[in-house]
Amino acid sequence: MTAGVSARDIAVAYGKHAAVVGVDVDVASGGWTAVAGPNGSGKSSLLRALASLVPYSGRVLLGGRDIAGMRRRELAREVAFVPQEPTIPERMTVRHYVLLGRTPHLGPFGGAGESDRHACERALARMDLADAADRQLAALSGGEHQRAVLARALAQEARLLLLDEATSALDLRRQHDVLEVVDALRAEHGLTVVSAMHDLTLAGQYAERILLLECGRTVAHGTPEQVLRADLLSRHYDVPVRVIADGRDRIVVPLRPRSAR
Amino acid sequence: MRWGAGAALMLAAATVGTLVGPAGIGAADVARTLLAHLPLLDAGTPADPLADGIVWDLRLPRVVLAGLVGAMLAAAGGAYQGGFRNPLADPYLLGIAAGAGFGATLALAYGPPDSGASLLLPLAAFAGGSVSVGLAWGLGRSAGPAGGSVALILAGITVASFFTALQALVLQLHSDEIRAVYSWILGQLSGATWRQVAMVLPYVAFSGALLLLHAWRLDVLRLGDEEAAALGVDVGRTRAAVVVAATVGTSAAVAVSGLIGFVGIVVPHAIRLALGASYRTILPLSIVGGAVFLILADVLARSVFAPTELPIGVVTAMFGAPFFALVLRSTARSVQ
Repeated sequence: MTAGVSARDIAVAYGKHAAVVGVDVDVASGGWTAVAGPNGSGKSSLLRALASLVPYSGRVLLGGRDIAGMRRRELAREVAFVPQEPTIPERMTVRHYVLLGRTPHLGPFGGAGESDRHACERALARMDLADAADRQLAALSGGEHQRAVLARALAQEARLLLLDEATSALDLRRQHDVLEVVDALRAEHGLTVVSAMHDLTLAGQYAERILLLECGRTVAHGTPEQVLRADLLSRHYDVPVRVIADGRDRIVVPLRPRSAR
Repeated sequence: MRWGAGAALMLAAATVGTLVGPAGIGAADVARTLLAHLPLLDAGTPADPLADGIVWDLRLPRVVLAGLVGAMLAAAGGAYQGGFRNPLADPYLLGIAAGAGFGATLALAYGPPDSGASLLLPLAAFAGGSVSVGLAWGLGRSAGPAGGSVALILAGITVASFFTALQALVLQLHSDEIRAVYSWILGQLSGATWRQVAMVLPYVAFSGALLLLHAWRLDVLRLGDEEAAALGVDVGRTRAAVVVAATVGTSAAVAVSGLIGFVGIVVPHAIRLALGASYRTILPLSIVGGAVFLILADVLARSVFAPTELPIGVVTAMFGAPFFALVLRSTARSVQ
């Protein structure tokens, strides 16, 4: 069974407001698709639909199975979701926090066993948090928080990883560190990744495909070369954009609007 | 190690509770009475019948009942705090105790003559408690997320006032039962019997076990509803199971002991401050701590102004109200 995700005609609405309208997403097992678009374009809502965290219409197939028929626990063993602004509980150590990622693997009332602790330690080490494991979450820096959340998602050992702006709080170096870990997991274990990203340069460096949304609809979908074009981005972000080709990378630079000068 | 310490603490409190009393029975007589009642041992000769009656029929059931009620109220408080993700939640402040009290009053006023000792009382208390927790939760939520902790507590206070008023109304109409009901409201521990112990024990065991089984999921709920769902927790069902279990246990406790406030705030928060905020620590240790706290509070209640007894709710409030103020202050700080 592959862990690829195939979503058809996804729509999400909050009351009368349509956040996502008829979007298709196909990511092969081990693939990485970045979801981009202006604020409010429906990136987060689309990710939440893929994790069945909001009511949606359409079908989401995971390795060929409709997630609508899966129990929560079962789904959580397949899909890990990293929110944009995770809740940081008071008085909880980093290790305990990461161990909670094992929840879908535990018995209905059980505690963590040996294999769960190992998975937790591996995730801590991968996110470079082994030394911080016994510290309180609240005492960590913003970047360390973000890595703790990612470690929790890694401990979940799901095959589809949904990242909602998961690296926005990190500095330049750490962004790459974290995305490299995700990329390595993709190569080693066939992890499938869908990430909502504001930083289009990063999106182009890591994702194989970019899905560009505007007002909840798909306006472009393709390889970074196809989507990261100055004319396309300028139109949909409503700001002049320059795209500089640097080897295989596409560096996206928004220019200052002329009217502001 | 921690469990050994908990058991030793509970045993020590029970020993103090059994030894202290106005009759001035010596430790040796107390020990001899207890030994005489142990089955299969046939060890001691019973002390004189008077001492035997006082220790075995008055003091010991009172200590055991105080332990059970304290354990239940504290564990329920901890569970409500986790289930509602609200540090101020407590059976008393959420109006559950008042609702259960109203249900019990109805049973005493309109039920058959011996309903005080039958199953009807805990059932009526449970119905009242369930209605009030539903009302408080619904009312608190109607204020929207902006209301937060404070909205739920204000809703609980509103519900509690309403049920207290209804209770007063029923009492006005049934002045014959007024004594029975008032002695019940002020704390029934003074009339504790083995029969009451037997009545409340199954509810406390069921509710306590169910809450302990949910400790891990209560820890996951600390991450918020969405993240808990993403980790595979059925948030609605977990919250319902925890609230039902805590309400069943609280109602049974209220049915035998009357209204005893603040145990559900003081004990879980003291454990949280001292030993950490994981519900896998808070819930089991609240059971131990709640039992110890209420046994010792009862010792104070009957010995400070002996031979006059203070209502036990007065003693718990003396400790609880300042402690609640402390929790409220630290909550306000963390919200800012």
